[in-house]
Amino acid sequence: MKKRIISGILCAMMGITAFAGFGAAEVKADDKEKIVVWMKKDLTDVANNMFKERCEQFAEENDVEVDVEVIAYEDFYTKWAAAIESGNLPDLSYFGYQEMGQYYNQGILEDLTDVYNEINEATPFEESLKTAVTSEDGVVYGIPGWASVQVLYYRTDMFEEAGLDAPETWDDFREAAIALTDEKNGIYGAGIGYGASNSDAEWLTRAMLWSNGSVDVDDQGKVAIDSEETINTAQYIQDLFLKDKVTPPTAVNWDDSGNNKAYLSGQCAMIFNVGSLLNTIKTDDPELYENTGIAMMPAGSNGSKVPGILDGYGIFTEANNKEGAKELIKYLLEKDWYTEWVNETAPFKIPVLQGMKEDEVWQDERNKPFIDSVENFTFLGYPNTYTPAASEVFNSRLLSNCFTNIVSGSDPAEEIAALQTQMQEVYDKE
Amino acid sequence: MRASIKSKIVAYVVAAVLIVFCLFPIYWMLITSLKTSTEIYKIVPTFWPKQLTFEGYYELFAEKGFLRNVMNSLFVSLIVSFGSIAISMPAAYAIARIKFSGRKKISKGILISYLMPRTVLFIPLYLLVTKIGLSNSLWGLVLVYPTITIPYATWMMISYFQSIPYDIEEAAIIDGCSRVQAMWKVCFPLAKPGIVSTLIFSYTLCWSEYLYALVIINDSDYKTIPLALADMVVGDVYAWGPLMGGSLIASIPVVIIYLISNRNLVGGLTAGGVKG
Amino acid sequence: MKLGNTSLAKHNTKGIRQTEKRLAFILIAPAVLYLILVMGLPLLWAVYTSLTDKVIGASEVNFIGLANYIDIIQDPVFQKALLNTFIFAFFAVLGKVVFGVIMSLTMNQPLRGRGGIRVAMILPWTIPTIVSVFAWQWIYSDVGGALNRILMVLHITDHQIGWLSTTNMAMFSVILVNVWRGTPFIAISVLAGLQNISPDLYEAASLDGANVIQRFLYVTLPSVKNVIILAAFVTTIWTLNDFEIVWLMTRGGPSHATELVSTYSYIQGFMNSDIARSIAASLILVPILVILVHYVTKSSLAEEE
Repeated sequence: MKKRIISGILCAMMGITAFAGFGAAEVKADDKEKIVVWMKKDLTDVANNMFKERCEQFAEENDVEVDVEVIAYEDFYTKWAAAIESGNLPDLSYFGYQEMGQYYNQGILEDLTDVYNEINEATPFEESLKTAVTSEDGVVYGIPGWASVQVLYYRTDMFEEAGLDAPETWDDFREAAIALTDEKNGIYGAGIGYGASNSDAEWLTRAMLWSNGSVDVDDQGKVAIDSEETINTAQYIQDLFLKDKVTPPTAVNWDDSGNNKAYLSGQCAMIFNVGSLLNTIKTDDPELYENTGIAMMPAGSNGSKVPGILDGYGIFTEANNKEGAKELIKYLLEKDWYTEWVNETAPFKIPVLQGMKEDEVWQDERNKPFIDSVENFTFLGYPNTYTPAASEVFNSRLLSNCFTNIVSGSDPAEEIAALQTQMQEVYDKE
Repeated sequence: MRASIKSKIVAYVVAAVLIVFCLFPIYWMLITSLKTSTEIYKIVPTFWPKQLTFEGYYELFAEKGFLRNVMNSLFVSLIVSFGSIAISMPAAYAIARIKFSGRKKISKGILISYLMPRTVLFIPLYLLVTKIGLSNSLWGLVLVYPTITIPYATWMMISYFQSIPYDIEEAAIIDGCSRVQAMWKVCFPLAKPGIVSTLIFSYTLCWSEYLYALVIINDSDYKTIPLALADMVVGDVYAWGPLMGGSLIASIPVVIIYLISNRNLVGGLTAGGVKG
Repeated sequence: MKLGNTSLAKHNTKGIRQTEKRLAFILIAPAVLYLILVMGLPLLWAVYTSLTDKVIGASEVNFIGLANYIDIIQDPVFQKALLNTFIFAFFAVLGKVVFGVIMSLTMNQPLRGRGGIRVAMILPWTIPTIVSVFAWQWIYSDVGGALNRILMVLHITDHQIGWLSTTNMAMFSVILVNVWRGTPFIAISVLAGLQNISPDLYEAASLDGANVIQRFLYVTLPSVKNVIILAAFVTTIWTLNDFEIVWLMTRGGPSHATELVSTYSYIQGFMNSDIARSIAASLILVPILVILVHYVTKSSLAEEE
């Protein structure tokens, strides 16, 4: 009897869920033109919904159907791989510029030069961005969507107490870090970390290297990372960890959320991060927000070089509805709506269209450093133009692996020599 | 008698230690889901929330529509786990009980098909699902998930069938049962604990599968629980409340299924031998 | 189909064998057909692709034989990953089997609140990995981390231990999480096997004066040996292919200390689009597993004449 009751319950459960499943699997039978959009998940639901609504509006105006799928960044690689191999492609997809370069090189991304120019005529893009989405022979294969950048987060209350000003150079940074570290109480000045997974570290290390005159490749396109400048910078970073001990001991294997945790908990007085953290602080911890100052990346002997992070849209050559997707891109970059959408999550997304700097939201003292950084943008492969090899170096996390060893005590010169060899191998493959 | 008291005490102590080990992380998830985000990020952790908040749970159901995801997962996991058991059980019986040529080869083949990691198979399987026209549907998952459950279920059940003494079945055959009847009336009931535990684990394998679901499902209406949970992380920003709360809620149906079937987990020979 | 009224004497005659054989094929057909139809082509595709220079999205694909394999084996990072994978799998499986068997024996005791105990013990398995890993990350963390806090309050240590940030601790830490999650599987599987041990056997052993440990070694263990071997084998496959726990906790760091074949393969295939290399890296483990399969089938399908 018991058995029958149990199987009864299970059958009922199956029935319910089967109903749910069938209900959901209902097929829409209309032959409207369709545009499938894969979009990177935004910081807030509000921003996600604004994007979806914009697409719906486009659908209505043009009598088409637009399917928007919002995907977390980490999942994109897997989704793209499956889509590309099966031919079941989205018509319009989000990409980071490093992926667009790689894919364009394989011949699977559409030439979007005309779209770029058309938008650029209506509302010009920030000039420093074009190089990141342009191939060596001048083809624009991606449309900038928004940018982001690492900036310095620092605790104004702690700086005030110590009588310090926001650091403008890397030397200032080190001084402040030493002054603010209070190891006994578990407080550290410099919240910089490394680790295999750490994309924050990839960007930050490049900022430190480039602003101190180190280059990835020389004029002839040869890997030239093994230089005096690189080794000095590596030594500087190692000293922060081992000699000055101004970083938390666990920082040698942080993931991307490591510095968030360190700053939000008050463990670190300074960290580098993109705008999302500021949004989080603002909503979750107003008190900390009041005590947070934002400044642009410190400068080195070579001035201030900020690795730009550029997100945008691309179209696969094999996509079904390329024309529709192109129209939609233009629609997404119409200035009025674009402004509203970008400013909604400021400073998380930095606008790529000119003339938005003056908007009130970007005049805020904490938001301004983000948009001001755009001028100093440099991209992977610096000082040469961006190449797919440069993005493979980035994606393999060669730098953060190398520097993890350095901050764990390996000899900087030897590690940099090894890095040179590894990078050379990647460049030789292309 | 003293020995048995002593062994009882040992059993309780061992049980206590194991429970602490098993439950501590889950306890941690629970209190994290109830803390405010400033409290989560305190350098010195609190072991009970200073300020309870149910914000995360509210968000989960009211804003994120988590119930939909639970239903999707239930649908796929139930169909696949019952279906795989139905397919695997006879196969396991044949391999365990009937001697035929090719038996070892087939059983080996089933295991070898299990060695390929999902990170390799998801691309060709996605191709297949797309060709059949089941991409972006729960039926696509129903089609591919048995690749995870059938080899596992078949093999586990082989071992359970083998642990049942063959004499019992033979006796039934002598008594006039056909082979099929002996399988159905003697072997399967005796192996019930094994079948049920295999069922539970087949269910949970589907319940927490992430990679296939990620590539096959696009539409947020069809997202399963793991996909919905992964959606609560944006880069380095985590929605801790809904994330932790959601995964605790995700475990409830499994617990219910476990409780329903718990009685069937004891039985077999210990429950008193063969019933007429 | 009808086998009724057969006597044991006739059991070995040819006709019966034929019918039995046919029955076996009917019983086995659905499972085998499904696996061939759904898995067959993907498996061939995977093996073939590993012998080419395919990258994701490339239209031109050349057959390059074993070049990927040779290339990978020479990569020091892969060598390290391979070694780590063995260490990881060995200790994780060992831990799961030992704890799992202990757990199943505990679950099988007529303790007060047995139902509750069983549910508590199965819980780690029910939480989706992606989230339980985040919870463990917090537990290991230096800020707001429970584990360090507990150890410090108990004066076991006076400083923060870098569970995931030091090369020697990171491997231990990820193994612990894997063991935590995987133990219930062994426990429940073995628990089901324990149900088929006839109480008479224990009684007989007790009468012979066997103590608890002897009873375990001579009665319990032989009876569930097959289940343990199979559960361990299935777990080994899962552990070798485990990707989520390590990827989410350390991404193979620090300094490749927890780099596994699966994380290596993932980086090759998806972050660098080099799908052929990625598959080759995963397939290198297969021959070793096939040897294990051979052993498992041999031992569990031994003719019981």
